[in-house]
Amino acid sequence: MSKMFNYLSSAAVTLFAILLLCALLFPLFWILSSSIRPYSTLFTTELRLIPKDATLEAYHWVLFESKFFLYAKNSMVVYGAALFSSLIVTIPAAYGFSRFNFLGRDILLNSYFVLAQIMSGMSIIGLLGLYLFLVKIGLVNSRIIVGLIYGASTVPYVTWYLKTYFDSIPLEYDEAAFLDGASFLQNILHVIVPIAKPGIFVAIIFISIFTWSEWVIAGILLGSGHFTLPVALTTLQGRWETPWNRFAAMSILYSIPLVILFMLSRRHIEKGMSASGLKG
Amino acid sequence: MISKSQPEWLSALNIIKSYKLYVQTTRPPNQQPAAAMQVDTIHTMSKPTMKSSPLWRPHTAYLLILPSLLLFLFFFLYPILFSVYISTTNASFYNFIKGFNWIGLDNYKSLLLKGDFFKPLGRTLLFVLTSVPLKVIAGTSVAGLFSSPKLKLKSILYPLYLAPWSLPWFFVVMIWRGMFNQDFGAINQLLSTIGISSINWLNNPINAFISYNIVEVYLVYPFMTTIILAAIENIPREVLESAIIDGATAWERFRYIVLPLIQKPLLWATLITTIASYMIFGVPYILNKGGPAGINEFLLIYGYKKAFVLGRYGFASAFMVLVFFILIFLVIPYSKMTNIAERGY
Repeated sequence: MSKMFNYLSSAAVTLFAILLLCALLFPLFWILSSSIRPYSTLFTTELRLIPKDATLEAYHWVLFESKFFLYAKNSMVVYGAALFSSLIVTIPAAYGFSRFNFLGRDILLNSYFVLAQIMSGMSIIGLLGLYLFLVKIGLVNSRIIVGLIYGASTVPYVTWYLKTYFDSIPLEYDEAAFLDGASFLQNILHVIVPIAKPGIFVAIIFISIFTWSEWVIAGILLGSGHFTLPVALTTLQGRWETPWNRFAAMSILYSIPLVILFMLSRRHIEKGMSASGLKG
Repeated sequence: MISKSQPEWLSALNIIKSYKLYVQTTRPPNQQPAAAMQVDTIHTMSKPTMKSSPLWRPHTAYLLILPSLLLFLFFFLYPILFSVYISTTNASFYNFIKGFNWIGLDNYKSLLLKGDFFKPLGRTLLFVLTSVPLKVIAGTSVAGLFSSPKLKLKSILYPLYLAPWSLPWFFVVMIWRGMFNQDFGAINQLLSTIGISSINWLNNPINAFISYNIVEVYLVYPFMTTIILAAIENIPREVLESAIIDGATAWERFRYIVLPLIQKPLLWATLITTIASYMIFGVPYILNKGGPAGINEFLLIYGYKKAFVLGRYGFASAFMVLVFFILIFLVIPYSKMTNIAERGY
């Protein structure tokens, strides 16, 4: 009898969890179904997840008639600059924090840790100053500068994360390299970076996620010819003439690279986290 | 790094990692993983090869750190100092190039005395007071669901529950903007099937405020759930089992056993969410730009509009400086908790 009760209550809880999941994932189904809806059936009051006359018209518009590839190219330029500038400065810095004890080390690490959590709000608080400063020195509307700003804003987190990762690499590796006559930079490049690959991969994912979604800074600093994808999407939807199905298709295409990266990286993230001793 | 130009869900990603480190470093020393132990030895033990080599001098460390510091300070510290200066001038879109004047603390006076600062501050506090409890309750409920031994298929369901998290935050908010649309939005379509006539979600002050809360909870629950579930799973099984044997109901077990034991991580996550909600920007801005008619302009939206829509640079800078001061007070308790985490590593 009690076994029967256990079985039933277990089934009820699981069923509830599945129903709740459907509600939580509903927005995703809805955007997918919106993107294959023909324009004429857009403004219906009835809900239909699988539209009657499904069509790829909206995707055709995004790929062949809109400026999607221009925006995608801009996003890639910004992304490349951000990734490069961030890694090239944070890897040596993280190594310095990991291997040396120097005046100001703990204060810097602590402030990096706190800054990392409030960085996004801080970037809006400081955006006006940044904008005016760039106007003064004549560097607005440059994709490379926006990339460098993104790179700079990932410095606290990436330095902090890579430092904890480098901590797990035994000092014997460095010593062996120095005995062979390597310099610090050679040691970092040829010994530390290859060992720390999983950790660096996690850092890359973090930088990618941030860079691919950022739209506030880019929206202020870039002109319409240099719009990145998220900035273009905000302006697209601001105008009434962009139908929702086209908008849906473009935003789906925009998010696909990141989703793929996320799927590819799941194993690396876990590996990176466990190898750095970050597993709680 | 959390909310708002930067997606909250991904900020959560790094917070979780920080949190795991926090758990790890606050553990008693004999439970420290080998890797963490080793860190200490690097800095405390004097290795002969290190001592004798002139390479390991502190100035090498400064050289290694300098480029990252320069990049960061150039794009962050300097602009903030610059906006402190601008806040004491009458700079605006019209006179910024031609030349503007120093006006002392006039901007601050008009913000604090005319009350321009307190309206957005009040709205923001109202939002923090509604959304933080909702986020904590939602996250704890889902965590409670997944800690229940009655729930089957956990390994399939859990990643799917966190799925909204693996999408660009920006994309998710955009979807919700469509969902709330009065004419073709799914919410009104759903409501009409149960006979409720269409609701104007984004052009009504109260409905818009409710919409922000819904979207924010949707974005933040995976973060809360992950942290709280990790804390619940750290509770020894025997404690809960003995409580079941003693006849405690599910609620009693939660209230008197689980809640006291997860107090610290819960407080930690609540604190982070509070800071993030204080700096809310993205969700209301994307949904309806803090509308209708600016009635839901929170602190950062108000400052952003004054700066980039109206071009009142001096005024907006002063406003942002005030926002920053309050932020420092919010961050102090958080950084104290962080210092605990950093100690001994």
